[in-house]
Amino acid sequence: MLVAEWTPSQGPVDALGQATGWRHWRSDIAGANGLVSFGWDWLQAHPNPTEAQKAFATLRERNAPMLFVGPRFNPTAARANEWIACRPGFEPLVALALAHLLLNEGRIQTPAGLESFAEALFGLDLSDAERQSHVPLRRLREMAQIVGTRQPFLCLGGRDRLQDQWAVVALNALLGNVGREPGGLIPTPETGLRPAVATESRPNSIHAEELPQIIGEGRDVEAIVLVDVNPAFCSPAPKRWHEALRRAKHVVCATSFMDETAALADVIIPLALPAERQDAYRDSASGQLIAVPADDIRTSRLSLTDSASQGAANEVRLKPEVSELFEPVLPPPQGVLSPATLAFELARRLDLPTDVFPWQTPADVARGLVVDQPRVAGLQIPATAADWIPPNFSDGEMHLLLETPVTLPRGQGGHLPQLLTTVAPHLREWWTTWVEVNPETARHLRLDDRDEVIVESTAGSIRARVKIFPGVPPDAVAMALGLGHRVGQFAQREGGNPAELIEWRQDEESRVPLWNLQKVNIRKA
Amino acid sequence: MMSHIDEEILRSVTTRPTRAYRVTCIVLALVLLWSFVAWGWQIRHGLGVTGLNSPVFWGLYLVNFVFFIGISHAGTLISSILRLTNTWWRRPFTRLAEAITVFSLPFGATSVIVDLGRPDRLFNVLKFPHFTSAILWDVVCITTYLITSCLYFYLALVPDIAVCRDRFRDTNSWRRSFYRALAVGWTGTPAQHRTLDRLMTGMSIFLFALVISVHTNVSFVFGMTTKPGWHSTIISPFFVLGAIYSGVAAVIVFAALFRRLFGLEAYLTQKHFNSCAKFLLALCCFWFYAMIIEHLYVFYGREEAEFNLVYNKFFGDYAVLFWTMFILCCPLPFIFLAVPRLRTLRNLVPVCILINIGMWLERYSIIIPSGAHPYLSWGLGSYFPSWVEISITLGWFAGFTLLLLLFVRYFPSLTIWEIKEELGANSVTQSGTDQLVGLPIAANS
Amino acid sequence: MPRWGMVIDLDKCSGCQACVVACSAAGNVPLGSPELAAMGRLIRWMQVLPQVEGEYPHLRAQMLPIMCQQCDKPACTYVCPVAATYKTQEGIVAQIYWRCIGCRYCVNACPYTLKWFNWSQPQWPGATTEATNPDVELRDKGVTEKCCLCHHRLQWAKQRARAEGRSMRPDEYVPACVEACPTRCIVFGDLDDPESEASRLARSPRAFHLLEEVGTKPKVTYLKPK
Repeated sequence: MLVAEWTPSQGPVDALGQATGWRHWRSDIAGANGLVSFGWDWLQAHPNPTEAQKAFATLRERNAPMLFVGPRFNPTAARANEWIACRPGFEPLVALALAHLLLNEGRIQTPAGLESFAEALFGLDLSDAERQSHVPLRRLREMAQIVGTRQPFLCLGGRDRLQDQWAVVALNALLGNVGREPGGLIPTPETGLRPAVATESRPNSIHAEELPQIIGEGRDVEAIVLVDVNPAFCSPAPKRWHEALRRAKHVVCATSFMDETAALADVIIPLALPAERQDAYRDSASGQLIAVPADDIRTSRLSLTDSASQGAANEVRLKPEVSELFEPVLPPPQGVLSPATLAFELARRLDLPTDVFPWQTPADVARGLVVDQPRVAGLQIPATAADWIPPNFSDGEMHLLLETPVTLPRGQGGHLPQLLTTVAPHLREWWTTWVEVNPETARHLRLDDRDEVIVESTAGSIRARVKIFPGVPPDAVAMALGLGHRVGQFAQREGGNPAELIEWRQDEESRVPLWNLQKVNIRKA
Repeated sequence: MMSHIDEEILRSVTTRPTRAYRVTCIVLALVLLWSFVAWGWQIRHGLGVTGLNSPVFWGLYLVNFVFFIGISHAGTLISSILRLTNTWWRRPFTRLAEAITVFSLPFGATSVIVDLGRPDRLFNVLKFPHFTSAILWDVVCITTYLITSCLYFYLALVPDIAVCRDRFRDTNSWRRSFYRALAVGWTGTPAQHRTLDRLMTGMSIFLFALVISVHTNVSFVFGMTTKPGWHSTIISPFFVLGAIYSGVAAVIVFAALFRRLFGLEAYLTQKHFNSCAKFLLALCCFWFYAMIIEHLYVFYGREEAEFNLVYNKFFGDYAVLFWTMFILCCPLPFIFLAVPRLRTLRNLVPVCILINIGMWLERYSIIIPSGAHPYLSWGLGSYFPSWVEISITLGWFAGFTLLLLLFVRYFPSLTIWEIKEELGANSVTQSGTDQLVGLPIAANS
Repeated sequence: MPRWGMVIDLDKCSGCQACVVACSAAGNVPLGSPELAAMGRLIRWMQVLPQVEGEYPHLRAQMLPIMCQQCDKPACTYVCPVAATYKTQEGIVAQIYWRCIGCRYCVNACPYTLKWFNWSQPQWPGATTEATNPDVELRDKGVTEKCCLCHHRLQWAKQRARAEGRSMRPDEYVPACVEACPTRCIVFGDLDDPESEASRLARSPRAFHLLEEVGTKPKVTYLKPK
């Protein structure tokens, strides 16, 4: 049992986890007096978009400056007070350079416990950083001026390579944001299930995205239960999952809408959202009947049916051999029945092994069987955090900059009608997969707006339509994750899925899937 | 007394139609029928079958509307205004001019009906009239114009119907009763002539007002919005001028056609065409003047929205359309109308056809570019008509021509009684060869 | 009589388009399709219009949530031949869908190009027919439509107040976009009430209107970004 975390929506989880021992925490954006994001399009990719927009409004009301460092003029950059355009993948270097400047110009004092890091940072060569990141020194100094004169100034970043995460966490630590309330990184109490952090005692903790690899290596997997995730569409090189799901003996998929993963499942359990109508529904493309949805997710009555049974509204037919397994799943004492908890409960009732991968249930915590202990010693930023090595991009001519649109959270929803027309607010592009190309590059490649092109990478190739947009650098193209669905009654079945272009690569230390190291070639179709 | 005039002019009515004529009528009828099929298709599926979109909400249908209402004005101008001024050369043209008026108005009016999203709700206009709307003014104006022109047309026809009645008195065909009924007992007494004259003079004055006001009203539909390119004060005189210009050209084309078909060279002489051509030249100059004024102000003032639009017309997406239109409407006709050597009937007919094409394009270049370039623009910004719109346009032109062809089959194509007036007043002019002033021209050219 | 208007703070708009989705859901705005969008016939009463200027890397963007500007001197109401679009006493520019003859005069007259025409019969694929708002009429082909400030919500609020034997409070009437906006950048209220937030913000020095020079006196006011 694994929780598939949608890493593009997460902050520097691994580095912060190693620095503090926290597994759950939040960035108090609304409480900050300034915000700088290093490459993380938080206005769109934040796990709770509504909170993100509200926090943005609060920042505006207080005239708190919001900065964005990144190669592309995405919606966060568009709404930022300052957009610092930098080379793709080099945002962490900018963070370190900023930290260096803040220390050296005396704008901040080295906090206790971070002396070794500060000393290592001293060796950073600013002109080299300028050359590598394409951010002029003048801009860095302006940034330092803004950041150093306001407190608390929160720094955000994505969940990329571990050393990229360290740069952002280190900067936050220097600015005193770790543990600061309001306006900093604040640990949150944990509810329900949580996967364990990789520690020395359990070094082989894996990321959910590694599952196809494990199956491919010959590991026998009895059943895969997927709850509210769609890896067959939205993970790097999603075709790996197709093979894996075929090999697993049983595939159970709990989902609200028919999608690519559900199409490969043996059983589909509908996850009803309170706003859904309570009717039997069927995927118009495959004709597959989807079971009657439950009344209310909080007191969900799970229903299993096979494809032969048809029911009127709210009527349920259960497979006899499983009906006695299913009694109402009640929410845990702490709160809402999350998909992860639901999945765990399902697995338990189906007698699937859950101890293969480290897991903790609230019951375990209540019994005192806590597997991991949060580190109680103070904040620890290793000196190696200052030795930042540039990323090793895949082969190709142009960087592929991925966007996770706010209307397609977790890369999904591209098969829902209303959301398809609001995907790109800055482009007024709808429905079809597009690739943003810099005007100069388009001229050079002789491409016009809306031309069909083939985007190729080492992992695959897809078709898309050109959108000439000055917000991407000349050596990069940009695409949005979430378009290109082939399954589902509102799927447009045209255009490609950009996830297919991403090679499956993991960060060695944190095992996090890497989305942003891909380069592609484009040519006219 | 002058019965040979009657015979000659009635040739189209009395002789059997040629094969070519029949085939042409059938072809035109088929095109018209096809346009009804297209219209039915549009009613079934909605206006989505056209090429219209956001922001080009009006397209070929409105172009046809303005065009057909436009050419109808020439009819009224020639038969009523030139009647009031007692211009001598109008006489052979009046019948055809009035016919063109009466037959083009319905096509103009139905163009708007075709353009409606809900033609089934047409009578809402009568049930819930909203008098600040220029479309409602148009409904009133065009209905008045149609009724008045039909009445005027019929009145002018009455003496000629009497001639037909007399001609067919001894035959046994259905036409005898047909003409007798329509002739309403006309016997050509001086008293009747006086009554007719008074009625027609009175109606001419009324129609004079209508010529100006109807097409001004049509221009209100565009001018009363704030769209760049439409909201200009010169749009009204421009429309009226353009209407008369294209209409007179249309009259010349059909007059020359019927002259050739039915051997009416004696009555529609070179002199008549020459004078009409000079009138057309004057209109061409006026049109050019209005064109300059309209665009000069925009270029000088450089107000952004208007300037962008005109720039697009001159050098951008609409440049080909605009300059084709301009050449067909102004320099080309000007050369052939102004240079006496070139102002021959043989040149006049193609030039007038080109003028009409140019004027149709001119309507297009007024309506569509402004539609595509509003103040705040999103959507497509370009327009290409679909098969439905093209079918209906062609059908409308076919129907119009068909009506005229059918008309001359049953009624004389020239106003016999007015020609008799002219010939009676000027005994010098006789049937036979006539020459354009100053140039030796072969007979029957 | 209240005079309903809106103030949109462009400084706070993040371009998330929650307003667009809420409006489309509340107003039964037809979904459309890629084909319709490619033809420029997609209907969205509420849109977020991006205005991106500049060259890499010096770019500026403004997100402009835009819908019917609810003018006090609406160009569209004068030109309708059947008075199918009209201004209510409370200032809302409304549509009578069953009366509209589809001449598109009002659509052409609007200087903002913010009225929409149903070129074809709106399609409601699959189960979406069951997700329509029962308070708002479904339009046929050949009819013009636009944002009517969620007039149905005003009627609900008035009915509720009448049933309870009291007068309606201004805060009981909230259009869908205002309700959905997470940054609260859209403020709605009675412009004639000097105490309402909407009228106070409309008097802000940052306030401006679109196409002010055309003279339509729109009741949607925008606040310039700081």
